[in-house]
Amino acid sequence: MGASRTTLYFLVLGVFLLLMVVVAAGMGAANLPLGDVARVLLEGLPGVPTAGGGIPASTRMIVLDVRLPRIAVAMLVGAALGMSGAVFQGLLLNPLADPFTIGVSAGAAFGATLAIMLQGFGFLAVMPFLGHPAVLPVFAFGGAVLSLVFVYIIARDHGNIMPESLILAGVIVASFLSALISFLKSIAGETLSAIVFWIMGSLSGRMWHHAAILLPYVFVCGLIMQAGARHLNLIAMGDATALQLGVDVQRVRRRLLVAGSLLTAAAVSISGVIGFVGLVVPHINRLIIGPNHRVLIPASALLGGGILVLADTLARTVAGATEIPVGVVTALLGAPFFCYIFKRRFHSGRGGDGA
Amino acid sequence: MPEGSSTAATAARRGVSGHAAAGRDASAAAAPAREVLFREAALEASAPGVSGSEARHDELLRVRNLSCGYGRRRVLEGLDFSLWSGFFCGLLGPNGSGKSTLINNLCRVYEPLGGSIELAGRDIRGYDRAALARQVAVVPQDTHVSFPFSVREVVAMGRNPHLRGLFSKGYKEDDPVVDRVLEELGIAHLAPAVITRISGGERQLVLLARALVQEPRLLLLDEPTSNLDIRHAVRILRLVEERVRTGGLAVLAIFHDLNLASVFADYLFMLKDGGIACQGETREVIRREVLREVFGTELLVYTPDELGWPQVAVPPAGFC
Repeated sequence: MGASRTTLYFLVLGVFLLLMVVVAAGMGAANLPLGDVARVLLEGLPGVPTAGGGIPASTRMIVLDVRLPRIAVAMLVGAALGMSGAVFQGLLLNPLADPFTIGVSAGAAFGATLAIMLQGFGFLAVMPFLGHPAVLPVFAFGGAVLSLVFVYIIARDHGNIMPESLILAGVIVASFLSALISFLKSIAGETLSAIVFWIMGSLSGRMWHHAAILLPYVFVCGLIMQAGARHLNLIAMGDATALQLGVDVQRVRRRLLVAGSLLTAAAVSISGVIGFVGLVVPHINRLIIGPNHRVLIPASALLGGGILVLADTLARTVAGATEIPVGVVTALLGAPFFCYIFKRRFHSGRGGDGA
Repeated sequence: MPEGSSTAATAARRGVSGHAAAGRDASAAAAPAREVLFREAALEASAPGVSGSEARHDELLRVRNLSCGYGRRRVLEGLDFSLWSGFFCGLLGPNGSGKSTLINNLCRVYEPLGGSIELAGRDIRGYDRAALARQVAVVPQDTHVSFPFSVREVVAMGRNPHLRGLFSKGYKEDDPVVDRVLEELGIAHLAPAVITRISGGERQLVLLARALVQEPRLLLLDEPTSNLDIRHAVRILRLVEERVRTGGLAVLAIFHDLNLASVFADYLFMLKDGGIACQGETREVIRREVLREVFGTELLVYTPDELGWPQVAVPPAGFC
């Protein structure tokens, strides 16, 4: 893949992301003129004169206090899922893998379900701290991490972790947790709708502090992933090849698994389960710039962020006042798109060469 | 320099072959021939007038009492042998005799169950992985690749053990070593092609190129030609042979085709029932009795005058 083509693609991704931010900030129950939105957004930057008059205070309030935090969270969650997806597909040598393949989503969903039910079942009186808004994300994160620990323990063989056993262990843990979730749902009573809504994924009502929680995960885990990208290319060729080419496969795999899993767990605990972003985004990028993880991971962060901002904007606007769970939107858009990619890939006889 | 040492190596091979043939009746075992071969090689290397850099016939890999296997299952037991710089060694044996297992243990994809493997006088467990990959490279059997890397990207992966730094560019687009090897193997035109979309023969050349850009001292080939037509097979083996003769590369290659083994290998190891059934200079090993013993089938061995080393033919049923 030529360097100039890659650079151009990154420019396109950057423009796409910025455009999505402006459009998302403008659209909603109150449709704001894009020019005003852009001026409000630019105000904060140094060297840009204050827009001052001409822009109603309500516009500034809606953009900066209501929509922008939600956009920031969407961007970070999308970036997290995109990067993790690229890493998991490489680690598991499986283009069909995604951040949820090894059971992170089931664990998070179980934790969240438990939290919602504890809150709904009158435990509040006994343990008032359960009412704190941080309880649900903490439970979800804990559930995700706990399920990952189980998956690792099951998949470990003499201290080594192999891709096939990870996938199988993920299936085992996820199906067990799904059964537990179903059981909890069956006795959930009036909290059922809250559980269902959370599992489908939503960014409704997310604030700056949610973005602040997510940012360090995206930054630190992203750095770890980028540092392992060169070795991930070799691991994606198979363990034997990577070992023969001087990669300490188990160490690199462990490090990337932990980074990818923690990042996914953090994203899911904030947003709920949002499918297809982590699966489709790396595929689109691979078709255009090839499978080299050194460019694939950052490109998947940008594209994942942009696409989730777009999906979330659709989620809160297409059905008028009613909000659709954003996980439903990504699945509705993602599944047919994924189908198109595979049709194209297998029938045109070209993989991701993009030539 | 390459010209001179090439002649020397060939001369050594031919001369020793004659010697070994003369002593064939005296010993059924191949060991004496091997001693002669390497004694002469060592003498040649240390002969006055030969500079240190041209002393290529050093013992590079020394295997002592090696046992390999998977978990509790022992596949190979008690192997003792050496590999020498500037020698093309072949590894033969029936299916399941542990040839690939041995290769995978020599490059530390698997850890041996017992015994030791010394590379240049140091146990290979004492090398870190990158340092080992700068010394030992493997050409695997054609393997499935899940992702559409370009040929240049795949070949450049062979530079990995020479790179430092976590964020350093995985491989330079214009790495001169990569370009040189692509050129030498005649596959420069394939560089932008996608690895999953080229033919089996081309892919095997790409895997050879990836091993060569590691700039190893020992090259292990795991049935490199088993899926190839004769043209590609000969081409790959000639490219490897050239580097043995002129570059002092040490080679251990698994062969299924006894005739190719006879033509290209200086020295052969026959694996059977978890051990080395026979090892020696090629003529000593490609013999009817040895082949009957190892493969359990009756084969004809003849030495065409114009060739000077043995070839194997399958006799029709009832011929023998």
